[in-house]
Amino acid sequence: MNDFSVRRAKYFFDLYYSSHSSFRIPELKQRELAFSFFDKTGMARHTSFQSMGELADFIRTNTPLHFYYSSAYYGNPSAEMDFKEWKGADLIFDIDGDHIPNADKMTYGEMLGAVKNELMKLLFLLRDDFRINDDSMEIVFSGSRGYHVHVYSIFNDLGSQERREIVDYITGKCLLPDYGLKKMTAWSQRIESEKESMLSKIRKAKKWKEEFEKMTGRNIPDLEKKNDSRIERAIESAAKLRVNSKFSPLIDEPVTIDIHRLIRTPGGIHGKSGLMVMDVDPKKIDTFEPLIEAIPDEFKEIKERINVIRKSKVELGGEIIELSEGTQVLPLYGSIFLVLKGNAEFSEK
Amino acid sequence: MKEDLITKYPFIKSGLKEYFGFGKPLSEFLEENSNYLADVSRDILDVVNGKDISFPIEPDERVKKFILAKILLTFIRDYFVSARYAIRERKILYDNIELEQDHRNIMLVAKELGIKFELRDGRYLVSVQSFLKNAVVFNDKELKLCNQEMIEGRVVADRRIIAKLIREAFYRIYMEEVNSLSSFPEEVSPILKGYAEKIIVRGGQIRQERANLGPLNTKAFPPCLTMIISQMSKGMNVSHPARFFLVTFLHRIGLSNDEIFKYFGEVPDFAEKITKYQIEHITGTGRGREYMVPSCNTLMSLGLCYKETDELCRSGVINHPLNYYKRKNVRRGPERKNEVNGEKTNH
Repeated sequence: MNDFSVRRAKYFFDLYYSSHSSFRIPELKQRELAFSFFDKTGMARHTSFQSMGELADFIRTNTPLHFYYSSAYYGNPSAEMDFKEWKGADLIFDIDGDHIPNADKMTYGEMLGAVKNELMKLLFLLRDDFRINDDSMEIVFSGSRGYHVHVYSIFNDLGSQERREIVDYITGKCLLPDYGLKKMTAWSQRIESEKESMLSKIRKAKKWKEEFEKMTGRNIPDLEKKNDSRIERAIESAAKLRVNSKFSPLIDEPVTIDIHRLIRTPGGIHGKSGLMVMDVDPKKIDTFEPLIEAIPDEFKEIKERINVIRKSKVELGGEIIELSEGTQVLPLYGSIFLVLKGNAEFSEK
Repeated sequence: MKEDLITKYPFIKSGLKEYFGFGKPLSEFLEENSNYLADVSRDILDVVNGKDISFPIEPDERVKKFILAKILLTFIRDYFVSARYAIRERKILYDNIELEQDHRNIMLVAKELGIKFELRDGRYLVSVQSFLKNAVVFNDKELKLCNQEMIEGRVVADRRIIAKLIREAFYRIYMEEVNSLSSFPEEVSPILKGYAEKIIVRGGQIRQERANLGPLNTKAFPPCLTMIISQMSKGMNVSHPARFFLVTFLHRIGLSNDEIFKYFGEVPDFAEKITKYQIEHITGTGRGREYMVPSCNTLMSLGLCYKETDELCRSGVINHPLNYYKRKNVRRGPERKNEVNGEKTNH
């Protein structure tokens, strides 16, 4: 970004923050807050605020480019790490486009759709296996490539090792062959149910050998009977893979294990997209459209001229706009998106 | 409170209050029970020495000795010593829970230790957080969370598993408490100091023996450690990973926190309070967990390996700095022994 673009982007962030003075940070006093700014390198760490009003004043005065808070609760949140007095931490899950296979071949919307599929798998396990109700969790669109899920209160005092166990559960580590999965676990019941459904299809199929090959990817030439024990064994392995793919979300494991993580603040703007970091009602997550709903109102009415540096695509506000190099006028949310991505500069004329 | 219950589970708070005496000053309790205190200090020494000693049968003696041991261990704040003693208590607790006939007693003990669960149809439904806090130490595939049956978001546990969870909860809490920083009234120190010193010395010796490392032998230090010590003695600033390595190593070969502290006197950013805090954090004092000494691979990735300067390291047989120390010490071992016997041998 050139100097003019930096000033202009900062002006628009200012515009947004002038009308947003509340951010979803439970137990604000006990959190470390961290910021990066338009005109400084590095991150300002180890700050804390006694009230939302004090924080809102700071934001209005300093206009952060990125804005984070600690998943941890501290006795002294503004002290250096060794002296912060860790009291606990929310359990955080991060699902990001970077973990989606072939994400680079998808459009922005397709990628976020794939991320949401993974999010739905995670929510299913949290709700169904862990019985965490929606009141104890918060779903946050990160403002760029994914979603965060914050689970409050229940697991606060767990250390990294214990959180590793939750990660292993969520990612289905015990489906690995050497785990000797016990019979009554939720995972073994899912496998059993999948296996039964696959075996039933084979039993009913006229061309059962083809069906078996399709399901397992295996060809056993001397198979003659449907009740051959090799069929059941192969189906069991295939069922495990299917269950893993159907139920285990692709989460960013180190995020969940880290008990000192800094996480984007809901209500802030993502400094690489201009979209809001926003909490989403768990009951409405199915229909949530991040590329429409996370656009700040302040960025919708203004049109802004930019110089496109390289051929680009903007997929926001329900439309896809393809742009070639040169001067263009777009709604502010599109212009600022391209500028923050480094694909354009604001035009001085 | 029932006497058999308090004898089996002497840590139950109502029992502790009853036998300690409400509002009684610590020094008064110690003086009143000075005979028990002497016994307890011997018991701790015996346990540190690996002896199997029995528990008192009388509730008064059992509870008071439990309290006195905890006071003495808190005064000492030595991770190794307290761990050995806590293991003794942990073992008898596990046996008692396994044999416990009355479910209400299990509920009481579990509640006392902060384990949340309910009994349903003869099975225990344990909250996930209580299960995890006390099961992760097992490092056992059978006890992995993903390998548990869950009902309504809680882990289903049988008597054997609940006994393990209770045992670990007791150990974890006991270790946190006796290793936490506590200030003792001025008049108490003279009563405890003599007992404490003997135990600390023996603890250090046993740690060295356990690691088969013998008395401190700085000549057997690996080159990576020597380099850090040399840099620090010249007043050079060394990195955090280097300090971390130094502390874990010196702790593992038996140096006390105070002895480790002396190595830091020359560093330019020396701050007594911070250094003490960091040493205690790394050695497990006040936290209940101690850090391991980093391996050669880790040191290499941190840029702290100086293998090219040392023949033994270059030979490729060393994968851990403690192995280096052990090998160098063993090489010297027989020679020292023969010197003690008044003989000289050529090796």
